Amino acid sequence: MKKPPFPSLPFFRQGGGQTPLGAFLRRLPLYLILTAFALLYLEPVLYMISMSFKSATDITDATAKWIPHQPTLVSLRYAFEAMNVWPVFLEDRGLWENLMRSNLVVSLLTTFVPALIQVYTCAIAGYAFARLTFPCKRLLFVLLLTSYIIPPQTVFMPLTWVFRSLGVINSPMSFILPALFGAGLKGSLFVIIYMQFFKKLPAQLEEAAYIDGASTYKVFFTVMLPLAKPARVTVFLFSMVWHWNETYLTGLFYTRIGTLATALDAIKLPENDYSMTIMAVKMAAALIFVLPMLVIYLFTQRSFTESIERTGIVE
Amino acid sequence: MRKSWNYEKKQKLVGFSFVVPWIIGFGVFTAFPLFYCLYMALNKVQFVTDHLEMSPLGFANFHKALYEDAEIPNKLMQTFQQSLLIVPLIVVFALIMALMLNSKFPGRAFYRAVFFLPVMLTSGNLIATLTSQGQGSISVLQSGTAAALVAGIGGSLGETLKVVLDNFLVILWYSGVQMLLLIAGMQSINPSTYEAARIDGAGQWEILWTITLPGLMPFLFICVIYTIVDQFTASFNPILEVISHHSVNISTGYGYASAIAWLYFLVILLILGIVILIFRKSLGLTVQRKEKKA
Repeated sequence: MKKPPFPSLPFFRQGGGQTPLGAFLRRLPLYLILTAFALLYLEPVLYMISMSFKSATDITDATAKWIPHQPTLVSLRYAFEAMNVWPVFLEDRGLWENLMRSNLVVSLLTTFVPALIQVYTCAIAGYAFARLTFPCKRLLFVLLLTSYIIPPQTVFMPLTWVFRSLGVINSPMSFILPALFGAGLKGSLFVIIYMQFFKKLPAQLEEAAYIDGASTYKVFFTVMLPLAKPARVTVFLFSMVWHWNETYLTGLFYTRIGTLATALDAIKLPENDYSMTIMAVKMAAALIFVLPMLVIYLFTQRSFTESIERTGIVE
Repeated sequence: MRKSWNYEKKQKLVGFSFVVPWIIGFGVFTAFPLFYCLYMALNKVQFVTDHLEMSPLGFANFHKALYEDAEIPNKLMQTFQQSLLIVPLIVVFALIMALMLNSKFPGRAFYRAVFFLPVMLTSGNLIATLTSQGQGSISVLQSGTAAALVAGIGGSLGETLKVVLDNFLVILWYSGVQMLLLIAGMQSINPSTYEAARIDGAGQWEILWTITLPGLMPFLFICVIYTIVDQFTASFNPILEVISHHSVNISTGYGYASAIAWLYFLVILLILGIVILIFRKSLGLTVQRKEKKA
């Protein structure tokens, strides 16, 4: 049986490939365009990598633009130290306090716990907006959109008061608590994403479950939520990256602890040390900062390619 | 009759239980700070050692922002025009790229990984670090030859190309999230619809216009909303700079900054209103209204 075509641009017709060469030639324009843009996106990252390994002499050497002549780990090692990546255990402090001294631990807690929570709490609200009826639905939808457009820069003062009176300042709880309510960093956007996804799922499966006597809660948790896999992957990835990169809110809520993102902004050269350059150190720090996200993306991006065929919806 | 009414009421209650957590979160983390901000906008806010002192001003702060400070209405207008121009460009670029990335070809995993880079690099301060070292820009496009080439085309096509060229970097780097959203959205279109269309003899263009694009409408809506907010809340936005400047400025104070912030919300709300109007069909808002009347 012929496979159904994927939604794509008509210009780049798929399938029907006779010989491998024929198929490649047919896709040549696609490859050319994608490669051109891929190079534009890759260039800063390659620069970042090459810069991280450059010694001070390589930076001024024009022939060592991409590949350093004398590669060195000095910048990377210094950036790793300066960014407080690893926890340094002090004996007179508790375990928690010691862990909080590591920017990596704080970053991981501020990133993954809220992201995982948002995947579920935002789905619940999104499902309600997509499929259920409740009073004042349209007004609440407008409020949902409104809450997304407010830049935190404009309300930072009352916002900090709220968090301070809740006692969650200086702890990853300041991101976990809002996430529990489907709020938090870009929470409204995730609710909207779920809403649009749930709207697109065919109603038959839901109806079948209702006929079997399942409650709304059961239908949501056992039928609809598992079906929304593309939405869950999308929300998780975005939430993860945005929490990881956040500097404004962490700057407001974290006064005694820090994240990798804030450490990256603050990195400086040690005084009276001329063996390194600030450009190389900054790039080394950026590389350490980006690496975890890239690795996780490489593992999760497979789920994006999974089509709905495999989720079992056939009309 | 009575039973069905009860059922309906019960359904509403169940539905409500799904949104209650969100409503609480909205109240505490959004509505309260927002209205407190409005309250401060109507006052003169001063820091007195350990607390804030408010003295009611009425609408003086708003009046000042709109009529006395020439900078504010100007910058609001500027942001408005800029977004009208750049938002469609970003969304169309993301759509074309997403359609390309979604077709099946060897090596697409690699390309998808690469196209995630803008999401990773632009959401924080990383892009600032990179651009400060001369990365992420395209020297060819900024040279005189490219500009001269476009100028030679002339007409409305030339004008459009010039706009694209001028904003190319922004379009390039701020369309990553939209691409991923659209790719994920394409997974939600039922493949059997395509098969049926093919059997009916629909061409590739017809399939694009009649199945793919309508199916993507809900996701295009998210993309447009996201792009608007992203452009408006980006740290390089001139209005936010003004707000941040005034919120620490003692002579004007946080009250004045709050007033500008509220004017700013109103402008974004206006744009959002236009967007909702355009996408009302895919949001199901008009359908609902018709059902109610019937």
